[in-house]
Amino acid sequence: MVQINFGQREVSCKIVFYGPGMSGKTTNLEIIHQKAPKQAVGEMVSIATETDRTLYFDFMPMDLGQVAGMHTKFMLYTVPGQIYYNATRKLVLQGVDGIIFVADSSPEKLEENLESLQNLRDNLAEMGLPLEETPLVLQYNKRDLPNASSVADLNAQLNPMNAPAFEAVAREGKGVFATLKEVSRLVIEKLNREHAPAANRRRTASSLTPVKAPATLTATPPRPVPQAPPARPMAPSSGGHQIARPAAPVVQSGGHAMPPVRRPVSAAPPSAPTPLPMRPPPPPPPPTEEDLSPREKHLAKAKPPALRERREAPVDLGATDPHLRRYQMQQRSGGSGLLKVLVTVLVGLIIAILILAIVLVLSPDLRERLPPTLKRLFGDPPAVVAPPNAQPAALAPPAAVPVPPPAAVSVPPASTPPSTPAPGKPDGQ
Amino acid sequence: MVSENEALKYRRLVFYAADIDQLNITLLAFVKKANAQCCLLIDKEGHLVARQGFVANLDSSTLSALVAGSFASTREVAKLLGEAEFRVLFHQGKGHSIHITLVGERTLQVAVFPSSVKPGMIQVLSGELALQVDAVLAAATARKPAESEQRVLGENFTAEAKNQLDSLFGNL
Repeated sequence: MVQINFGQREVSCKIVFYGPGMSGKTTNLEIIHQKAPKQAVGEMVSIATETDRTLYFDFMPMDLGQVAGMHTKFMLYTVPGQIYYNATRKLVLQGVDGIIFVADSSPEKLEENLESLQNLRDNLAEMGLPLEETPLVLQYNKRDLPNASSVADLNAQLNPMNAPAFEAVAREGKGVFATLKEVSRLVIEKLNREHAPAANRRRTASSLTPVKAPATLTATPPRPVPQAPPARPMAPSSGGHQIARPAAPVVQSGGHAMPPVRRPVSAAPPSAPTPLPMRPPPPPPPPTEEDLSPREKHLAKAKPPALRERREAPVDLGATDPHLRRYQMQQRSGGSGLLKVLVTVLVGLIIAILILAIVLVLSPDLRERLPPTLKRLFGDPPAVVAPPNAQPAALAPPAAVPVPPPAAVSVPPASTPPSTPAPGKPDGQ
Repeated sequence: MVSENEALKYRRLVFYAADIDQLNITLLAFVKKANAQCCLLIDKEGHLVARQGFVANLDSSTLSALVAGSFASTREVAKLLGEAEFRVLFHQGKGHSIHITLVGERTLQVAVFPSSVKPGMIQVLSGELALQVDAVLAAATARKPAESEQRVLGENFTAEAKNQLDSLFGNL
């Protein structure tokens, strides 16, 4: 089912290529991958067997870019066509928004085509999703085969639901993009019916009426259009390979629109966060002002919020947060453990030295025990006890200190005062 | 008759900005706490809901599709064993491991871890995250969105989308 993420400002739809084995589903995807603009498609992933048969699914994201402020993406899947892979087909079909049924034009493959179509119908019904209510496009592939069945035959056999049908030679890229565009258009139309503002729904419905029938590649004349209802989906804008069906008893616009029996709005299960109530797809005559609820009237008049006023998409902090990035890189490098230990030890040392210094400054007793070189760091002058008329110890001639007491005998007793420190003061030595 | 929750489970789900913001906050806290490389929330159909972590070089769309496919395939295996489904998947590689947890009924929580984080720790932390995400999702489902949040697609969404399709594939 379509996911509308107003937080990420994204719309995401799922399109599945269905069909019998070897009909060209994976080839379709490969051609889209090769030929589409590189900015529009991502990498193609294929879960295939050794013989290149699709085992589970092929997948490729297709990016339409910003559409009305929403990043719009289509997720393209293929299913394995072989009968015995039905379990995986059901898994891939889960939550499908649009289906391209790729049929093989070879007459020998008609049975397989029918079987696969019935299988599609059954699988969808299991999910409570009738085929007639799902956007569906048929692609008659391998039109270059010399014995290819006629389009009229294929239509008669495979297209009782009157879905849009296209001729294709997928190997050469013919008809591939026309099919893709058509199914994308149908999905968007459906999305628009259910999620666009009321005013827009009315506008779209009226603007869709005057469409011209698409160009056809076959000689089949376009089927007459009895009377187009006002709100049928639009035909592809560019000339595709769409096939015009012969006249059918069902009233249909241009033979390309969705089947007339469409999902009634009341049948759709209610969705709690759905912003607006849906309007019926087969619309009655254009609603008048009186038919609208007060809320719809309000929304019809209200202008959409300006882009700058809309809430920005949440910033991907994980990818952009430099702190987180640095943190993660450190954790990943594996060398951060040693660095952390070194830094811790260094900080611890600095703190210990600071504490010691403070203690020494505050405690003179401890300072006394320090060696003189460290003592000078704290600004303490050497403690010298000298007579009042004596010179300071620091200014005493250095030769006087080492002179032993016997040498002092030769010095005249009255010439100079004793420069040696008083006994009992070891600091002066 | 399907209940409203059942309908919501199988039909489309609209996520509003406030809920996505809350989910992003939860995921980012988990990425930081668990030292994960990234964490994504996807739904069972393979659509991405929210993502956080180192995702700049990650192809999130493809990862989402493949993880959803992988999870869906194991559901069939579970049925063969009589289980409704497996709620946790874990793939371990040389450099990275990926842990997938089913949250609620339709959301998958995908956490990618470097090999330095041990599997036991991944299991515990992912379990914690699943409870948180479940609470946020349950609150988002139960909450009636405010008037200002009730956004709809832009008025010209259809026309612009068709123009984009024409400009991209018109000449092909």
